[in-house]
Amino acid sequence: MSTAASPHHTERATPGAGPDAPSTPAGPAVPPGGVAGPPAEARMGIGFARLVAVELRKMVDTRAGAAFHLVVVALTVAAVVLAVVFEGPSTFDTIRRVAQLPLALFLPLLGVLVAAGEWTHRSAMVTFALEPRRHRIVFAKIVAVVLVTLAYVLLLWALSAAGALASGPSAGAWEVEPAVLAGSTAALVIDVLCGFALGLVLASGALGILAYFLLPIVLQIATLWGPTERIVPWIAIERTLAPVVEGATLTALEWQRIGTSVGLWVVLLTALGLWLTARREAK
Amino acid sequence: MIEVENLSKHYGALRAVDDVSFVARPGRVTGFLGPNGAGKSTAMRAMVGLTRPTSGSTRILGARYAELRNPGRVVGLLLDAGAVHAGRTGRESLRVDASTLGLSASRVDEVLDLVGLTPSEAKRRVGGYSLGMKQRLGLARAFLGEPEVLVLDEPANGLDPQGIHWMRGRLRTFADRGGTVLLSSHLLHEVEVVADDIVVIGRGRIVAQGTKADLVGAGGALVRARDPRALADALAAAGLTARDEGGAVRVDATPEQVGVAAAAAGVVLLELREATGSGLEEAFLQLTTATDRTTDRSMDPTGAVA
Repeated sequence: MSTAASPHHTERATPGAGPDAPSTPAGPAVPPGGVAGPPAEARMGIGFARLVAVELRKMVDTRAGAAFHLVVVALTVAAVVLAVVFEGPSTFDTIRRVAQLPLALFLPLLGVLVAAGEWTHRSAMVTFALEPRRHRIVFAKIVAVVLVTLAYVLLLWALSAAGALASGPSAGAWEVEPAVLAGSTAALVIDVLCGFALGLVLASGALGILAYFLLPIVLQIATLWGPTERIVPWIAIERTLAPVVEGATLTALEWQRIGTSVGLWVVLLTALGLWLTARREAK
Repeated sequence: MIEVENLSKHYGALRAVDDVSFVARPGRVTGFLGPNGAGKSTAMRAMVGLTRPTSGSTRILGARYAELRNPGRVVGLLLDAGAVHAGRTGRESLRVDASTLGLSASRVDEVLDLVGLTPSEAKRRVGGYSLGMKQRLGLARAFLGEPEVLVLDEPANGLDPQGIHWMRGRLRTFADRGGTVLLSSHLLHEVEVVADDIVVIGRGRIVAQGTKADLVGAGGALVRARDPRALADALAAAGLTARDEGGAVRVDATPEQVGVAAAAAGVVLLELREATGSGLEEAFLQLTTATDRTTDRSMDPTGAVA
């Protein structure tokens, strides 16, 4: 291995470093020793799409990650099969409602795990060394996790349609309110983002998952106590989103409650998480 | 070129890094030497923004690390070989970084080959790696983006003697081609062998810095010949002063000067090397002892006003 070539032995001609190459403070003079300046692309920064692609890849390239997705897919398939077998003649929407349960349970946990992963698995040192603007990594993770959620929704719809076909012709098999599909998808995405925000703030998969499951319970208990009784309907996200999931036309009050709860658990918590992420010591 | 200016990192009353300033120059290997817990790792993390410095700044090729648009193409880092997702294979771990950097998968195979990780080893999960294999993977990662600056924290850790030898050669070549190398070690010998410049840190502060010649090479050359009398004559003829040191001769000159003088007189040499300057070694030992003593008082660091 002592015969190995230099780290600078290829791709040093930098043909791209023409007049369109940006000059940044990072652009060093070429030292006389023969090491050329970094190639043009080294000074162009890392595209956001590339960061998203990397984050998507990081979700499935570990054994635990692959196993997680296998389990979610398997449970969704199983839910569709069970719905078809036990519900008799099923419609697309009755199957979808049953089969969305595994997604509703697991995808927010994916949000927690993706947000906390860099800290849980000690990869933060490398990740944030390659992209010191940490918020870009966080936003790339958010986009990646939303894309994965939407992909699961499409899979759910496809499986539900297959289930409806398999369960034979029945009246209204394909009747479904677009508002119901949109609403339940939106609610799922919001739940995932809420899990993500918790993982981001707590920087721990275990704590984030614990918090995600404890929150609704704590809020439920809080309704028993006078002073918090009137606040809970504004901040308990599964309550405020209930009419959305049913595709109902929302009243102004319902919109306000959705805005308050999502603003608190998604927007504010993510902002806090971004602030903490920027300051956290990667070691 | 790495320019560290008044870098400090305090944790409460503990001054892990305290007003550290030095320059690591291109074309040279700079050794960052200090006992365990002296602040080397914290200082290195602070240089690249993984730890937010309390005050001070670091410029790499004239820019702050965070200003580099694609820092992995400029700076190769090995700060903690263990800080890798254990569930990824070695190759996949590098491929993720390669795609972040905008590099092809073939570059990953190149660096794996470079550090001597075999394809079958690269296919295994990092969690099952030995310390030495993790270290090789970390070195592969440092070289991945074809950087012109290397920042390596204890790179010799866990490497076998062959690996250490190889690494020294790599770093030498890298610096000779104009690259900048900053490497830390808690072993004086390790730094002495490979570094051109040495920065000594203890209790967060720089206690000595200079070229190796200044700090270490002051001891002259140690030489042993088959015919000591002929050697003495040859050295005298070359005008070099020498004194006998139990079998070997210590000469107040560089090994090169001694070699030239011996060759001119046709003297057969059995050994010729740079004598360790006792100064640095003593200073380093004192530093180590001093640091050890202060660990007892670390709960109440004297003079560290919060």
